[in-house]
Amino acid sequence: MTTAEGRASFATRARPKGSTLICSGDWTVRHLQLVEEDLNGVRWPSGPIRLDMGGVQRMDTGGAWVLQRLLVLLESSGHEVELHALAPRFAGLLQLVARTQVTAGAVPRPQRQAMLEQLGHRAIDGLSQGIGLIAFVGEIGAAWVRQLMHPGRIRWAQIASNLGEAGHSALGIVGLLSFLLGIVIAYQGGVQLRQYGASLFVADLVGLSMVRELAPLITAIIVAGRTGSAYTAQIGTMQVTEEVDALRSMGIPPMDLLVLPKLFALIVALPLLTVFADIMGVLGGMLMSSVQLEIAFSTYIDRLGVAISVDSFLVGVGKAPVFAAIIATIGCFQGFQVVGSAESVGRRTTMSVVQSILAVIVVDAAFSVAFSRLGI
Amino acid sequence: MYGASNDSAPTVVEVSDLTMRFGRKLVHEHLDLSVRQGEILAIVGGSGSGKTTLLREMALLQPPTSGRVSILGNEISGLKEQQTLRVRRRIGVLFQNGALFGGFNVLQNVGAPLREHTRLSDTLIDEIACVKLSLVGLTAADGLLYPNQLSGGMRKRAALARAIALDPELLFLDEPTSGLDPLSADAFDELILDLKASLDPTVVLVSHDIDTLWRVADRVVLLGEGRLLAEGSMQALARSTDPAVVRFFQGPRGRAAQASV
Repeated sequence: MTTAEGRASFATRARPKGSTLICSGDWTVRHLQLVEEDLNGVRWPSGPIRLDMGGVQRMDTGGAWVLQRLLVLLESSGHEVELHALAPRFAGLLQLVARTQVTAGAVPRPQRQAMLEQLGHRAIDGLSQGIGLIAFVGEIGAAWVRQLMHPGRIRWAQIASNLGEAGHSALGIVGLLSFLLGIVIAYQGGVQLRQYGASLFVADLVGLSMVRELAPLITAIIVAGRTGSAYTAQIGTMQVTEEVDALRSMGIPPMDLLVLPKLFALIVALPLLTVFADIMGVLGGMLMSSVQLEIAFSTYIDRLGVAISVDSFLVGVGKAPVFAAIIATIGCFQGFQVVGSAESVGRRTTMSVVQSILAVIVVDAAFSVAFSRLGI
Repeated sequence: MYGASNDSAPTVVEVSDLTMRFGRKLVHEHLDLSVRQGEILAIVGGSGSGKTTLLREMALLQPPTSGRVSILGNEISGLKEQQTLRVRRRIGVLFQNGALFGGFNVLQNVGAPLREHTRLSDTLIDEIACVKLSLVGLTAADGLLYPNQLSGGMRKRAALARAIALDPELLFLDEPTSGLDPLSADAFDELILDLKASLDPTVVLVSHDIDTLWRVADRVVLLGEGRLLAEGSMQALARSTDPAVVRFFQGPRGRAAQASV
């Protein structure tokens, strides 16, 4: 075996009676990997073995452990072992490690669950989450009723600041995205419509699709990513730092302070944002129509008035409070599900965003089916 | 244990003319301090006296506003990224609340530095982690617990096991006994002394537990008013007539701790 600078190493040499293992170098964790690999491959001759430790320059607990493990292995396989020239300070380390009574291969392993067991655990987890969510909705309802009976307890300041956070600060991103969406739809639709000489109907296309479907949906998705996640992270962190418990101990129901203001604020903010998104999307379509299809602004706006009925507008905006309730409820619920660590906050925040977006789209689909049955 | 520090021992940490400000708040100014090899140095002072900040500056966690810090023979300000990393590997830090990684169990927490800095097999790393756990008085079975399942005392022990994972030459302990009941705190003092005796690191600790100071510290420095108010062995400080020192060590708690030694 070659002895590189600093590397821990060993070599075997036969003696008249038994054999010698000559160890040298740094027996420290940083230089041990070769020793570890090589020791696994050694075929130990029978008879007494002498470990010559004279060449070992440095040793840490890791090195001492490897040596201790080797000693135990040799002794248990019936060899007579003699430690030779081990420096006193290393001997102290060896004793220390031996005293810990850790045995090789006795490292505890977490119990692996069988597939079926895992499946069962997941099913139960999912079920209890579902039940928990329903219970949470019930608690929100109860807290709401309690607050309506004592209107003095409504936290207007909290609602106002949440409105600013969830509504006003989201204007930029919501406006930009729906404006771009309007441009994209006008462009894609315009190319097709022009072939039929029906360019003017681009206003119908952009107007209806934005107002009925896309504006509420894109706004809800942005808000779920932006605000729903913030709700989960905030409540989750408060859960970790025991702030939620502190509120409880002061007799302030966390529901009143943390959940209801967020829920109210979002239920107000999301429809307003949706209207804003409607306007920006239609404007985007108008710009694109004028550039690409040479439709004058006034013509476009006249056409919009014919195309978009009040019903369509209300259908779109009316979905927004429902989406808001979903996002705020899931966001807060997941926040309260956080236990213990920062990792849990991250996991719950992810779950909150994924679940709220999923729920929003599913509910939107349900709305579409319902509206088409009702003929709206 | 007191008075065991050897004046001729080489210096491990050298702090000179150190100034630290957070915005307009002055933490300390023109501070000089050196830590000699093999001693247990305790930094004490009232709340807000900048003990932990000083510890963080010495442990390479917080660059000072001005001044020089030299660790294990390396002048910090002149170090490149790679060299800093090499110095860090020779340092262990026990954080006040443990700072165990919540997503890892105890065994993985203790093994993390080994996994990162060595190329040993997973089996060997786990075994070495078990040895460290045993050294701090935890069982191998405790290794499977996650940090949020641990009591305060166990969390400190697990965090200490992680701090000594690479057999550091220099060990920083931030409030090692805070939040522990008196019995656990006593046991933790013993543990620090045990580890000192077996692995022989230089230890710098921040504490305002006067019992810990009497039992563990070779030398104590008292911080206050943005500077170093006094330094010496506990006995010397206990005899001191300096009003600031008297105020700190001669309160009812200080006298009780001294009486029990």
